[in-house]
Amino acid sequence: MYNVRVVAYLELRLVFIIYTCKYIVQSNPFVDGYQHVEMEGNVLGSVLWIANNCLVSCPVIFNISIREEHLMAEKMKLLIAAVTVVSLSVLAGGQAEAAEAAGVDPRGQVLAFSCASCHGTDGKSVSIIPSFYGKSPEYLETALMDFKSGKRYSTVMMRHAKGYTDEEIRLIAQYYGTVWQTNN
Amino acid sequence: MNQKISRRDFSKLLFAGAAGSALGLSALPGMGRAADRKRVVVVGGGFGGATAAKYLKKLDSSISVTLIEPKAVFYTCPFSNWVLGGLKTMEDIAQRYAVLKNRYKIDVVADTVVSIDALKSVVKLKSGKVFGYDRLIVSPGIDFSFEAINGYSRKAAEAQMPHAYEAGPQTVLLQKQLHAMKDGGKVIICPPDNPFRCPPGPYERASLIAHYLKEKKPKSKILILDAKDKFSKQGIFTKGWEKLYPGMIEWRGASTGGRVLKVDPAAMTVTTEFGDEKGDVVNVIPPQKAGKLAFDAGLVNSSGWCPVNPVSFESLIHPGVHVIGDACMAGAMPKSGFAASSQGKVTAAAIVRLFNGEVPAAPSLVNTCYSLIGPGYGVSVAAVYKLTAEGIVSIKGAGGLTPMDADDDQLSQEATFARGWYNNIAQDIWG
Repeated sequence: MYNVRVVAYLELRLVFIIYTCKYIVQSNPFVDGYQHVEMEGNVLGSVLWIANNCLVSCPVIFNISIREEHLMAEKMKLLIAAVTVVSLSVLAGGQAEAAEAAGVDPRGQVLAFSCASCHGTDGKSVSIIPSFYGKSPEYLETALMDFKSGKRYSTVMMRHAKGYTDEEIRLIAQYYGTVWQTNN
Repeated sequence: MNQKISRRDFSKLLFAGAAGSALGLSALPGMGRAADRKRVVVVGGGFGGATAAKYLKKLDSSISVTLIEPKAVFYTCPFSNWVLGGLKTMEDIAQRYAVLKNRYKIDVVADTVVSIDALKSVVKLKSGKVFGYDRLIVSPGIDFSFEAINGYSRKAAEAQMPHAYEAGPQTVLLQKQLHAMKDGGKVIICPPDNPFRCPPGPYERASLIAHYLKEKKPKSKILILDAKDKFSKQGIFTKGWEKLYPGMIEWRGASTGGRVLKVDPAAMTVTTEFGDEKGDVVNVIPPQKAGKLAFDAGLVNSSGWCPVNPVSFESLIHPGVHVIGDACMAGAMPKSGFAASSQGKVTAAAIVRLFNGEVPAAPSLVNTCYSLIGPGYGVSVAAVYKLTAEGIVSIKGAGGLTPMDADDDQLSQEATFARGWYNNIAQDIWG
């Protein structure tokens, strides 16, 4: 279970948390609360706690809690929170693996949805823009990698493909290379 | 042990331990009632809302999705400038909800939301109907700060000086005025300062009005009085104007006499720091803010826009309420129909995962804006976005503009792809 995917999810949480903390700091009513978090001397625990809440439901609760001064008062609670969050993250990694085993990678899906805005739902174009419904993962991966490297010319795809890592391109190709098989 | 249940248990432990009973846990949306059919209410049938509704159903047809939109026909802002240029009709930019209703089994309700109670998780409609939800998606679009321009008002927009920045009757009014104008007349366009919907919009508008005038009223001029000192795709627009409409379009930036101080709709004059300008047609695009519903529901902060969690677009003010599209603060993403639709997909995917007790995938967002400078002269700006500690940022080295040295073939291809894009995104959202 402790694999790259788990790390990726943890990373997402941490990135989001830093973002949220910054937001909270920028929102005046919560500045004191944020400082309070730091004074607890368990920044990591706090950050992980927020990470969990932000993704599960909302930083709002965090905000309200600070305002109400019901939260962050006892280090013990933070410790429980931190342990909980780490457990949840590992769980999330496991679930991602389970989902992938079932055929659809959630990250691949989210990445791939972007393509449909120009190429049509599931890559079925109703216009002059090329359709890629029914193409194989190998074909799609090669095409995207060639757009990325500039080997293949396109007015706009060369600009888009550079926005994705090779791994993300593989996930996108995998999604569209199999979605038509699922539909059939 | 079932992972989903253990996740809930962890959450309960967390809340019980950390937050105590001060927060009504049962009021949290998306938790509890695991066996029930999940309900999502989507408010607004534009680019953001309609996409979210369709993709929710596409991802999990067991979710009950209600789409509340008062208008039977949605006229898209994208391509409304093409209507002004005489290249498309209003019917060409009309989108309807029959496919979402019949094929995707979305409950499309033609009504207006009068209030959102985020604590009780219910929305109330004008008709008196009340809908409960597990998650609410609000895609209210923009509203105009008419009062920000001295002398301007909603009434003035509907009578003399249309903004035409919500497609529909406003587009038709501006088109009628252009048709009624004499050859040799002057069209004044007043774009607002950032942030506003569709950053290249006013300049595509100037281009396509110029196309119409060049064909029908070639002695006419266009004057752009801008509240900014630079604008989206400025280099390529300026180059296109020089090539296609030499001497026809004049642009004045904010510090060179472009800033509008007041307007007089009766006299059809616009006052700038450098004096008065009289127009035969005056298109005032006022500063903007989140749609009225976002204000009524308390989803906006002091900026006039809605802060959201960039993973799921859940409001940072009201839990269980997601805000997408022009109304939300989506970091580096512009306020565009494409961006709204991209956000709708990310939100739909995040909600489905939250319903299943799973962590949403890291968001991936995209924007591509095509602008037509002439019928066979298209340009675009593209960007791919990711989430970092700075929020949603555009990925460096990717995206960007049509190159300044693009040849005629590329410009013509982009114009063709612009048309293709419209058909496909409309299909992806409403079809």
